[in-house]
Amino acid sequence: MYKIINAFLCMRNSRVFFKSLLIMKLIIILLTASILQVSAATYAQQISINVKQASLQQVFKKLRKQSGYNFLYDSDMLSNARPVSFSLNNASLDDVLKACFADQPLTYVINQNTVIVRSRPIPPVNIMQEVTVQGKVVDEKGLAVPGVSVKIKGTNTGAVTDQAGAYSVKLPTGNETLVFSFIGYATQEIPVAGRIQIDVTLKETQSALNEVVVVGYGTQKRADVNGAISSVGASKLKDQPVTNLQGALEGKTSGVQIIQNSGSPGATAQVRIRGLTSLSNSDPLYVVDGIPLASNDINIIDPNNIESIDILKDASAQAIYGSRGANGVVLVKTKKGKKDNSVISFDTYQGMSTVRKTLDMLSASDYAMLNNEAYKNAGQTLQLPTDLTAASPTTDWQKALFRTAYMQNYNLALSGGSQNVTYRVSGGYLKQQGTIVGSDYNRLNVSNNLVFTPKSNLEFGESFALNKSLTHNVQTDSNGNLINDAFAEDPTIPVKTPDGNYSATKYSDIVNPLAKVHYLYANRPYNQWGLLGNAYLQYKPIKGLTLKTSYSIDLKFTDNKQFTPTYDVAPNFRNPNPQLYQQKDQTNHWTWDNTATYDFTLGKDHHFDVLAGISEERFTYNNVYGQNQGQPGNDPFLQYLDAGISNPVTGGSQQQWDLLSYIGRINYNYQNKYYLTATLRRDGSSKFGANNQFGNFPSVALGWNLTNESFFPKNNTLSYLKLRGSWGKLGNQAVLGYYDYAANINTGYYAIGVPATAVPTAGPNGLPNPDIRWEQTKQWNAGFDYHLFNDHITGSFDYYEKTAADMLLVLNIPSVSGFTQSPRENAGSMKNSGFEFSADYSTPITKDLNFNAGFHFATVKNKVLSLEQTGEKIYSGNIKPGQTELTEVGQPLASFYGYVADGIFQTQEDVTNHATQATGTAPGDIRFKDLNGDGVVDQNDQTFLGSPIPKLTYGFNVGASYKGFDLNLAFSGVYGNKLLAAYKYYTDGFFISNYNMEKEALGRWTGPGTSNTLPRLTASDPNNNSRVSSFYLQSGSYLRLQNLTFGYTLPQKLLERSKIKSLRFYFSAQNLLTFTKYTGYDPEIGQQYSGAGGSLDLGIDNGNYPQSRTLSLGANLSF
Amino acid sequence: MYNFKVIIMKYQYIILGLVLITGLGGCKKFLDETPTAHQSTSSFYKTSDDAVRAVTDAYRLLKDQAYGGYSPSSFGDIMSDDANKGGGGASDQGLIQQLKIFTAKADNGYVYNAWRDNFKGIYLANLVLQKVPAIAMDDKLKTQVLGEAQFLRGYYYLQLVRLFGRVPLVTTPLENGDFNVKQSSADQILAQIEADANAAISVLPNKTEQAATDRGRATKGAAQALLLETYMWEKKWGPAQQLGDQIITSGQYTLAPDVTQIWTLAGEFGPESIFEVNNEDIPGKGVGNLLNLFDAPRNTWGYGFTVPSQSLVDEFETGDPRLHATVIFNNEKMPDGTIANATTSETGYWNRKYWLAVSEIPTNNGGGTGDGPTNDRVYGLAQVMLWTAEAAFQSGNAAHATDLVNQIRARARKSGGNTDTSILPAYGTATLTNIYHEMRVETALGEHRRFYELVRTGRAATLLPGFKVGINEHMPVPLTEIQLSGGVLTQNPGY
Repeated sequence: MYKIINAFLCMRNSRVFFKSLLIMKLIIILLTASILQVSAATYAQQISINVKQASLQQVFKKLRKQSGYNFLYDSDMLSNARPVSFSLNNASLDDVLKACFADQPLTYVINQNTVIVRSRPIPPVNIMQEVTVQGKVVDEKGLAVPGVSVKIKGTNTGAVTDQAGAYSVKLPTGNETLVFSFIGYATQEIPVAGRIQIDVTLKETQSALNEVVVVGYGTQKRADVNGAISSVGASKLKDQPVTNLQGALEGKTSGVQIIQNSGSPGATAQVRIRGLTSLSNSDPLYVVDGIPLASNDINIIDPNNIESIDILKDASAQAIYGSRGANGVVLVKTKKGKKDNSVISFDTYQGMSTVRKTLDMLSASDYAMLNNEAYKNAGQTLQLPTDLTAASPTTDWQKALFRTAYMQNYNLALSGGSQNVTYRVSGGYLKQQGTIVGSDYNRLNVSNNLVFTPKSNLEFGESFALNKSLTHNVQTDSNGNLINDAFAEDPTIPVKTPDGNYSATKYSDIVNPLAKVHYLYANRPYNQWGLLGNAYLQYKPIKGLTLKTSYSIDLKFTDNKQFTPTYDVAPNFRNPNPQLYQQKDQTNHWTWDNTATYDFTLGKDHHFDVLAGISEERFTYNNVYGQNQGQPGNDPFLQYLDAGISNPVTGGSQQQWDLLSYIGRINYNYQNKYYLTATLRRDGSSKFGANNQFGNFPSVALGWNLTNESFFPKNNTLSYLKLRGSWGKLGNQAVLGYYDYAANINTGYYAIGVPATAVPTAGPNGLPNPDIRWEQTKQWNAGFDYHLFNDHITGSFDYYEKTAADMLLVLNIPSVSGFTQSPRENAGSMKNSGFEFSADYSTPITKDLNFNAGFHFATVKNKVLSLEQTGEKIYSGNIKPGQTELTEVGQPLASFYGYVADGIFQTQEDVTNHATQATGTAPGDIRFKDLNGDGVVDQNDQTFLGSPIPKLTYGFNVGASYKGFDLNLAFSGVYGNKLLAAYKYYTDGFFISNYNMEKEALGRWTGPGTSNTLPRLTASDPNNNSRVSSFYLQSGSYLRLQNLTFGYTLPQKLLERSKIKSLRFYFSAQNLLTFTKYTGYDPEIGQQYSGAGGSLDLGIDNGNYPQSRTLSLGANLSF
Repeated sequence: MYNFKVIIMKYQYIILGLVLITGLGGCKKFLDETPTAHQSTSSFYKTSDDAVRAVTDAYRLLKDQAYGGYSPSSFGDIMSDDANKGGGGASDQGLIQQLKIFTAKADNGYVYNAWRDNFKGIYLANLVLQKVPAIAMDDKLKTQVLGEAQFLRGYYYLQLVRLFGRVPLVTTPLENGDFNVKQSSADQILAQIEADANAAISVLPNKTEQAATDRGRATKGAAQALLLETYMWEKKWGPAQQLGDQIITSGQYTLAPDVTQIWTLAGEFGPESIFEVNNEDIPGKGVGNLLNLFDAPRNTWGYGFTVPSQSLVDEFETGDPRLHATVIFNNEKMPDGTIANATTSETGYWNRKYWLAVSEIPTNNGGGTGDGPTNDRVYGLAQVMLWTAEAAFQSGNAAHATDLVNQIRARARKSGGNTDTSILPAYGTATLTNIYHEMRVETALGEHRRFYELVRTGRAATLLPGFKVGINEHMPVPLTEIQLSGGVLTQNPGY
């Protein structure tokens, strides 16, 4: 053995291989460790030992040191043994053992590298009655369980199962009872009753500690986890009419905020793990069955296929994903087939969605009256008819825009397996209408997975998940927001004229939103095909060592077709010339992982689980587009480029980035009391300049299971307690472009010549930054896991602090540079901290009645620590009425910033007595606070008005089942944030351009004492009432009944005669009740726009596509 | 024993093999990526094509970028007494209205855009002047490229000095970290413009030497006109008159026979055209003019901004054919047969100079709404003659001034099919007022210069309501720029 270690050292010193690469060392350590184990048999035979009157324990200790063999014995048993004395040189292990056990009441067997000590069979009193019982012990999956203690009840004699789970016990009479016990499984007592073959299936004890938690590149038992990981199992995800896993996760775990920003069909939600980690990008990394996804478009996975979701929240858990772990990691495990358990299942639901609320808008007559009043107050010509009466027809544009939308979902899955192969094949179809006319989403999923185990130590498998979707989006986020159009549209015109054409707006510049849907959005099909595929080979050359190579591919193709037909609705909405734009995108992301894990125990108490690996990833994006005009008609069969005849434009490009990673992790525990997890990932990314291409991301975590300490009182009140602590450093590079270290030359055109031609021009698109580095997040976490009242209540508590440094920001720079923004630079740091708490209760009350409940909450406190190069100010949330948010050192990021509205001036005297606001300020205008008291209200009187980040996010659920019935309610909520109701710029009459307003505007100021909240209407707005102020801010707190499910499972008796295994019907209501003071459609508002550009546009309601309320009926059927 | 060793060796090789495979693939080379689909600043500026493309890029900032960019017409026309803002009510593009009524503050977006876009133009011109000298290329072409860059730099600085007075003077692309440059005085900026214009004059070709395919690029005459305008600001009357006469007698330019046809598509690059920003409706290329959309009557396809004021209409003498080439009246029958509806205009008039016939509207020809085809006229012979007249008058040569003004009036009299010889009688001796009047009616809403000319000649306070002497001659320095400079840039007086 010494030689081997020496050889290993030599190898290291001789600089033959990979000297500088730490991870290589780890691999070699691992390799060496494995060789040591194997070599024990070869070299450890040469033992020299000299003992006098030594106890067997002492001898075994020495032998273990010299041989590397473990000794398994019952200390009670050894108390009967006599001390030994002998001296042996270069003897074999067998010789030494023979010397030990000579004349002892004990004997031994060697099983691999373990010496198992047992009682020497008592000479039979009655040989005739001796019986040998044998059998096999398996777990519920049918896998052999080695190491199970098989004892004869009331004695210390018995056996231990071998590698194959087999045992053999000699019984004195054959009428004894055998006791089978193994940690993590329920102990079973089986009377022999004269049998000679007893096979046993052990059942795992129903303890949360036995849950398997998916961690990066492997799994762990819950009890062994030292990091902060939230897990959600399939049972909590099912029965919800949600189309992606993010929706299903909402309100389920602490510290994970899901924000469904948009009710647009097919839209994904924003996921924020422990707050906003960075100023530029806070989206977590998604990993599906070990495959890191290229984007956060999780729609690729059918929620029906998800087995469990584990969310890595602290640095210890995330560090294995290094440069992409800082925002948290969502690990998704999909369902797999099980051996000898073939199941065909069919699930479906049919749903009906509506919007939760609409705004009350003015009638046609009030619309004309208020707009005219605004012109009159400004001394301008009236533009609307004054003779409209209350009886004039009024169009409710929201009613015209929204509809009751239908949704249907089907999923069929077949799974099963035999000795050497397991499979699962599934297909799903989702058809979802949006609540806004013209929007819909159709998705088809097909997936399969196969696992082959041709030999017990060899496994290979493959999986693929294919999806195809077709989406019609209606624009509701930036310019051309349909919902704002529906608010503002002239109510005096009908949707369509009597001849069936869409009406032209009479009095404003709004375009009839239904005409927009019909002519524009209905002709913009967005098709997507995705493939997530994986193949792996896994080999276990020796016990405990697993070598795995895995290749994954994440492909995505999209086809974005935008046909603009000819139409003539209004002067500002006509198109005389048909036009087609079509773009095809292709992303190809492959990952090749090679890992070795080695699971071994040194001595009896030192358990190691070591991982080392190398991973390569390449992400390639391609696109090509074409556009032309003059299709000879609007028919669908002509909506192709070949049908166009004029003005062709084409383009296309490619971008690529690579990631090369070295991965290492050690999990260690001593006696299941003390735990250590140490992780290191070294990432190299092509997104960085050669100077800073590599980064190291280490973490360490410690755990202490007090329950296993002898001093810990055995009691049922606190039945489990484990303390945890971790620290680590992570990276973030998601925000970076592919080539930010260089400055590209962009091509444009300028007209030159007579006749003019478009001459190409070329200029830099920005400034280069060759020194760009990773964003680095340091995080520490301290917490504990607990079980109370005999494990009926389980939960955990955590406190964390994470600090992001070197944040990748685009800084504003003086225009003399030729640019207004710097390239991405490492500037600024920010801290998030918070508590997380969870408690879950679950227990059967009677045989038929079960009850469960859960509660969790999380706080988050965000503070910007530094913004070195930005002049300390980053404005964001640029929307009418202006830039609404400011990020400044010492404040939470993107805090609302503006004037403080302080009522309405009632009289001229009020105006005169107050600080000067503007030259035209008059009674009826908003009074803004003169914060610095200088007698003038100007930009120096702006202040922080609140944060869009909730102080507290929480959720709770209660459920019960009685016989076949089950009822579950899940609530979620946020508290302590502000929202900016930006849509009120239009609907409260700040912007007078013949736009419609909310009924609320009837309460505007019209004279002293009429209103102290809503200002007068004036088309010229000399006081700038519309400026960014607290007027627009409202509380964003809400509590929502996220889901209510009521189900009934048919009793088995009823199904016995059919081939049906189980059948369940359920009713589910999503988003049923919302308690909030917020006056807009929905208080659940996150980041305004997706992508890096809008990451600081938080909590702004510009008329978002509202979430819908969905009622559905479903059935689960299995054969 | 030996067998065990073999097994060990096997394992070793399996594992090491695995390590090697990934290790080899995993060498640093894997991470080498070159920016694709684009050249980068380090690989560009190598050929004569690169040089031409780079200088052409510097022209793009000349365009009137009415939305979101510098709009010469917002400052030159709307801020003056020639036009009201128009559009869809007072709050539609309210930032321009703030300019119009002189309440704009340092945070006004249009003021910021003007600062930003002209400095962008200067940066691109500086980049050409820095990179092109090292390129191995045809010397004649190289000289011309450098001359155009100098013209453009001077032109952008003239925009800045007119708007802001004092601005930072940068004559080379700045390195990261050197962006904080102090303002230079207006005199220093004007001196730089003179130097740039003179350098351009000495190398650029005459209009007659310029190929038709190069129309839109700066010529010697363009640089001379730029220098003339600079002299006018510096009140260097003598050199101005001399330079003006030089342009007039160069033989390169003659007055077009019909002034009413100049601001039509057919009138582009006509005989008196000295410098124009070339715009064209070429679908997909983005080389059109947004001002067509911006200024077209609101109840047709446009937004109806920059509507002619009553004051402008009143400025025209009875029968002046130039009136109907500048202003659209309600119920006027347009050349394409449509009847104008000016009832929704703030002033009751629409802007004629950016009006398009139905057949010329870009969306009817495959273009986008921003692909308007109308060229922005920057310098024409008439304006040069009137400046020369002003300079001559100021130098005491009233006879020469009168002659020049009368030439302009005589041409107008014969324009637009007018046969009434009594209109626009020749002046016996033209006064300064006559010259100013002629300048206004000749180029109103076409060259976007009225506001600046009022400031230059000291008439703004009298004619523009709300104009405060000592403050409104200049725009405020954009707040953002002052903040980013940490106080190195100082605010203009009164803001």
